[in-house]
Amino acid sequence: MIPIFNNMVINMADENSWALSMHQIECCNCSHGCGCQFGGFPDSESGACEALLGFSVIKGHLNELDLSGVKMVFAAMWPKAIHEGNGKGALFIDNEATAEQVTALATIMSGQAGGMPVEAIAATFTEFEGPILTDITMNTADRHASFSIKDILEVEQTPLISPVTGEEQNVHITFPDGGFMWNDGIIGNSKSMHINHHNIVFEHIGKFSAKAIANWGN
Amino acid sequence: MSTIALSWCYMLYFMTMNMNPVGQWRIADIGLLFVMWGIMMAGMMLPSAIPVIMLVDKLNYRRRQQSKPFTQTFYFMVGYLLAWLAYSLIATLIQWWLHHLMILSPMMISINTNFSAALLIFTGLYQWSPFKQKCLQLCRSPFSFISTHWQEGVAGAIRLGLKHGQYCLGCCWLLMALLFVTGVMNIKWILILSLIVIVEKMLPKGDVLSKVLGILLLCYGFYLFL
Repeated sequence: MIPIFNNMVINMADENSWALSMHQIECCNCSHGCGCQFGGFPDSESGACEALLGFSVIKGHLNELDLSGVKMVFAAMWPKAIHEGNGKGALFIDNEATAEQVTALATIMSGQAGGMPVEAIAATFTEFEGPILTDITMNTADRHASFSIKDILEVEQTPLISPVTGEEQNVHITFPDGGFMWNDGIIGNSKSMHINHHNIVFEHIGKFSAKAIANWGN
Repeated sequence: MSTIALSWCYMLYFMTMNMNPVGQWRIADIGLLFVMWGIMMAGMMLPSAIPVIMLVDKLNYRRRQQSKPFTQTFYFMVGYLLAWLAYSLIATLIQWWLHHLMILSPMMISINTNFSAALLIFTGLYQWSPFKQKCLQLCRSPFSFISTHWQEGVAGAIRLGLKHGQYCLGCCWLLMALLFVTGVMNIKWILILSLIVIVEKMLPKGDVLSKVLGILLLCYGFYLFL
């Protein structure tokens, strides 16, 4: 197993307290519903899980450091179900973030500050690249959310359309007792979804997409 | 891993040696029977829990690498096995009672066709019940289980294991009770039932299989009745 972020020296106290309340724009290779939400296994054709997640921090902190307003994109692929491991991931952080914010987000997202679900996600990676500083464009509008990084990746969500009336549908997946990523997701369709970055390359159009507010912390 | 290997070793080589047909049911016999059930359940259920155990272990491994406080994965397994030990105790007492009612032969196999048929039908129906399917779903989702239920420390790890064990119990307690029909020490059926549990929990379409199995059990149950 390759330690993630091994090229970064992060030496922080064990009691790193953090919390992030974020817009989460999620697209993956599953058909509508995303099997991982309910039965632990992706319902993609290949049985793999390939996902792009955009985050825009509404309010957040690591210890005293304010993280509000920072944008980041998380790209990940697992050959089978997430819990079976062998995942590859990359973390992109928007250029607008300060150096301290970048270090803080890298610490949080690599699971080094503990807290769910990031620590569990980090445990399933064997390869991880980042943080990569870049320009991220993001739109957090509920049913038409999108984000992109020039020449690398792009995601655009569109609402599900009723096959009967042709109208846009308001579909949610809710976990009243708490879901593993978010509690209430607005479900849609991916109008565009692709990435081409080193060994993370995929494209999945017309698949599962969700827009939610994620509240994570340790 | 070694726990799994040891329990299978016991089941393959020592079980029949230790457990001569029991005629009189002294306390020591019941104690031995409990030990046997405990080891059997560990051997049959632990393999299907490997994904969740591995995930907990990966998390702890990463913490150790980063020189952070971590809890040995062993405690998670202890919690998990506690759930099945509780089941083993109940199974032992039920078995004692079934022997008492002469439903089981001294060789620990059902000699009452109606009892066998009823248990098969009930298990078949249970496979389709929302409760069983819910438990199965939770067992099949180690990632969301870990990220929503994680607890720190030794006590936390044991509680986490116990919780996962409870889901597994809800999922598999009747499948394990089928041992009364197949013969409690029948190694062939122990193996088959273990494989069924593994397939239900670890393969992408395991939930579908659990329902197919339910139908097969129902059919066989009714066949026995006729």
